[in-house]
Amino acid sequence: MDGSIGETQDAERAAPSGAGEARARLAEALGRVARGDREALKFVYARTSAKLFGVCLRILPDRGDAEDALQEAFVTIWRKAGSFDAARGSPITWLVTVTRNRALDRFRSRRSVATQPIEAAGEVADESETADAAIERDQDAAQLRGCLAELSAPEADLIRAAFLQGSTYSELAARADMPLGTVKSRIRRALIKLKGCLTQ
Amino acid sequence: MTGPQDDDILAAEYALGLLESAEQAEAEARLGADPAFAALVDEWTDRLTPMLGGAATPPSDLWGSIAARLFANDNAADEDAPAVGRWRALGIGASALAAALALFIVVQPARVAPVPAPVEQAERPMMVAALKSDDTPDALMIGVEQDGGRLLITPVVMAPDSRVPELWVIPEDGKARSLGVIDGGGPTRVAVADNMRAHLHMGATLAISMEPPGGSPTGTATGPIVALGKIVAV
Repeated sequence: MDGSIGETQDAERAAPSGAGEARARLAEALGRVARGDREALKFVYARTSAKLFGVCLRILPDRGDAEDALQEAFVTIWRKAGSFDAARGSPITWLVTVTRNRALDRFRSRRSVATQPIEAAGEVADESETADAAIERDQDAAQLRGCLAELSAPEADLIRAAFLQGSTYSELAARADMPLGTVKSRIRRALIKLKGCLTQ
Repeated sequence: MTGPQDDDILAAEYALGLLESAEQAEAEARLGADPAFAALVDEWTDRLTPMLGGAATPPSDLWGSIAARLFANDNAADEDAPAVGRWRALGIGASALAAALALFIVVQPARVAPVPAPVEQAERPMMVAALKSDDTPDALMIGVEQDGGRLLITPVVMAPDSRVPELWVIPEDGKARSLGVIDGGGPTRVAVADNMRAHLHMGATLAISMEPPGGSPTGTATGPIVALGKIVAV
């Protein structure tokens, strides 16, 4: 529809020294989106759609589902931009959270997750990881992968099933056929290990 | 009772989406009231986000679909796109505007009043939409009863061919829904179907397209959009 979309897509990655400025511009654009400025939404889309589409694809291996989820995400961003607080959080964190929630909504509506074994989370995720050649890796991703690999396989599977499939404690307990208390203590232990590894 | 470690774990649980609805709501409430807790949640979200993969370019036409869904009901002034252009974005395929079509639509008094109301009050429209087109700015005013139950439509100029005007409502989801064909010959009373009434609220868009006799065969507008405008409070 508009050839200019995507031209600024690489700006954030290309200039790490300008990350603070990029963040400020994105936050400022979200402020304008909250006031109904459609050009500002277009700017946000141009700057973030690749990252956010990556989020959708990670949760929804089916490309059509991922595209629908990205549309839903931008509908939400358009309506809820006013709830983003620039003083508190980073705009990209907010955008990723909104997008993940919309993708998880769609994920839940597509599958009866509650009946899937936990191990499926890892499998689905790995599949989508290799399915899209355009997916890139950065240092943070490498570090997180390394730290997840240091957890036991069941621990890492639980973390992935929660974050990538939206399963709550009780759903995980049902899926893993484990007592709720066991699941909670296992995940909490894993979270402490994970943070220790990531903040080394 | 909660120590820093507990807060950190709770923040992680919230960021991961592990909490059940009651705990989730509690954490949500704390987010707004406790900046330190909110910062912990953001830290965890940032830590976990790389799990969500890297960038992937969405299809080039996706922005158009998003724009169509959002801006059909945009309240902002629209300098850069004529109204009909927005409908093209919806995939309606509007071509040249039909010959000047000006409809004058009169609001019906409230249909059912539990207590007899003074006539002046009953006839006062609660909501109105000014439908514009490129050829005939402000060609059309549509009044909407408060419950969206009925419209009275009085066309004054008709398209010079066999096509008929069909009225559509486009609520916030951006999907056009037919309110039926408008009789071009004289005053028309349009009873709004029960399942459409909820869509006739402030901010929704009303539009008229030119369709084959009997109305669009597909359920979506197939002909040119000749006028559209948003419902606003009077």
